[in-house]
Amino acid sequence: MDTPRLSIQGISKRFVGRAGTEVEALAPVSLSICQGEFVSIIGPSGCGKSTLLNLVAGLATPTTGRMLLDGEPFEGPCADRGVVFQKYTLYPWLDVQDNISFGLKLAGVSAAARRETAHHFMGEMGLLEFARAYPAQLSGGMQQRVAIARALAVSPKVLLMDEPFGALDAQTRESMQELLLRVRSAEEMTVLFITHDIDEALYLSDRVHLMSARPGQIVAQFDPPGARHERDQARTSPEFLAMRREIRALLRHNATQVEEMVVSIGSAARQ
Amino acid sequence: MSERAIRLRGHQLAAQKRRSPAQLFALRAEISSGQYGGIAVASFAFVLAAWCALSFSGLVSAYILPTPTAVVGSFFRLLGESLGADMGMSLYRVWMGFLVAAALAIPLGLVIGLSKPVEAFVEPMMGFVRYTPAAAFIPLVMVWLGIGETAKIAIIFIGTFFQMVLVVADVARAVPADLINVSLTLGAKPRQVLGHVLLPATLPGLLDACRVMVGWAWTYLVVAELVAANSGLGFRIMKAQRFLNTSDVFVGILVIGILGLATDLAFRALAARLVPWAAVHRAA
Repeated sequence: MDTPRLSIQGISKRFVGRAGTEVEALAPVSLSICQGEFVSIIGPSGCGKSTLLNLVAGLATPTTGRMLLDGEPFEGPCADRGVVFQKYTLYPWLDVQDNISFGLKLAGVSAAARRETAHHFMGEMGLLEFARAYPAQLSGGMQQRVAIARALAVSPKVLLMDEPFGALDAQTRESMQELLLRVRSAEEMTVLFITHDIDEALYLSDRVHLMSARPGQIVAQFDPPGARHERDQARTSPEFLAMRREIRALLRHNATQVEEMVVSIGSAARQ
Repeated sequence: MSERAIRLRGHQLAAQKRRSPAQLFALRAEISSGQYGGIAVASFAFVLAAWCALSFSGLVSAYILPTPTAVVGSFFRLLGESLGADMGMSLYRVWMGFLVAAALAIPLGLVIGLSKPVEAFVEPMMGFVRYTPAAAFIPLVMVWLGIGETAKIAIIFIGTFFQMVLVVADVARAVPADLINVSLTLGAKPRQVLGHVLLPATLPGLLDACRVMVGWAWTYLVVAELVAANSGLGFRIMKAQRFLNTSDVFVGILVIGILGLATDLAFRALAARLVPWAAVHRAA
């Protein structure tokens, strides 16, 4: 097997709490993502899945472990790992086009090349007619499209998404998921996706990792049924629904019970 | 704005026009800019009418409340004497004091808002000094700086600088960490974070802080012109008071009010130009 695009080797995170007590936010986690793979991490809220993403983004420093990108260890934030947050993080003083080309401007890319890249992604994300609109004039779904385009514009090696559709209404979320699948194929993106929505994870991913409650650790792995291009039909298939039921049952139980159940259900899921 | 957004805005405006008086006063209901202007004019008209009623009727004696016509008369008489020079002198002092304060307070406030050690070193001290009244510094300022222009500008500086440092620090702290984090993941170097994120993100707040602080500078002007001044609007007011020339006092106060209002409007216009993305109709 080739060198994985992103390799996470036993990273963990401990915080020193306000009372001076140590809080273990993330138990050691190991995970590899290949070029072009879409991997989701699903878990109860507060399980440390966002902490994991911040560590990979370089916005926090892991207590133990190491991380490699294309076999090279890295540290701190850099344009090779793009991030889309749940909260809307567009720059309110820049219009859509300038938000998307923000990273290119930082890198000193010429205005003409910036415009070309921005137009490419605005076309892909259905934003062309909003090129000169300010974020405050856009709906939440629109803002997240801009945020995704902004992250993709600097061609990161891996895109990290932290519940990017968590604040959207159900209909918008579904259309955003479809859009993301389309763009992901077109751009051959490698994605690490954090969510607490089982459907979303199964619909979008090649692989879903399940995390236990705090201190978070990966306790199960699922490979969603159906090929990527026929996910839409797969969404209502019996296999899909069965897998969804299993994950939901696992999420309902507490961490220790999850660990006991992993062995039996994990093997059942792969059959 | 897209065509649809414009049409939507049109509908909203039409809906506002159809509002009944009761709907006009519904909690936090939006009103059109025409209605807003009309109500604002009405409030000035109300004060003027009350003033006319009280003074012309003789209900209140002239040395307590001069008639509007007497004040207008005083205005033109003073205009012929030294009003222009007084206005110029006061404007000079207000702007010098304010600009020096802003030039030092803005960078210092931004650094406090971004660095905890600097905050710990400076902010508690500022919090202490700002509660000491600027007027109480007058004797010290006179000992340190004499009674010249520098002393008057120093009073205005003392009155505005410490407040402004704290306000600017709050503005800097209010920049969401996510905006900074996103720029880092897009490859921003620390210097770029400052220029491309922090500066534009704080600009609306800084303009707002300046607008409010110029108002404070006008307040301290009158205090400053207590210090052995022989010109300026504050000096004119004090002198008129000594001779019980109430209508001259009114002229001084009204001129300061009008200059203050003009400054305020100028800052709003500047904000609308410089930071069109931010809401500029926040109250002071």
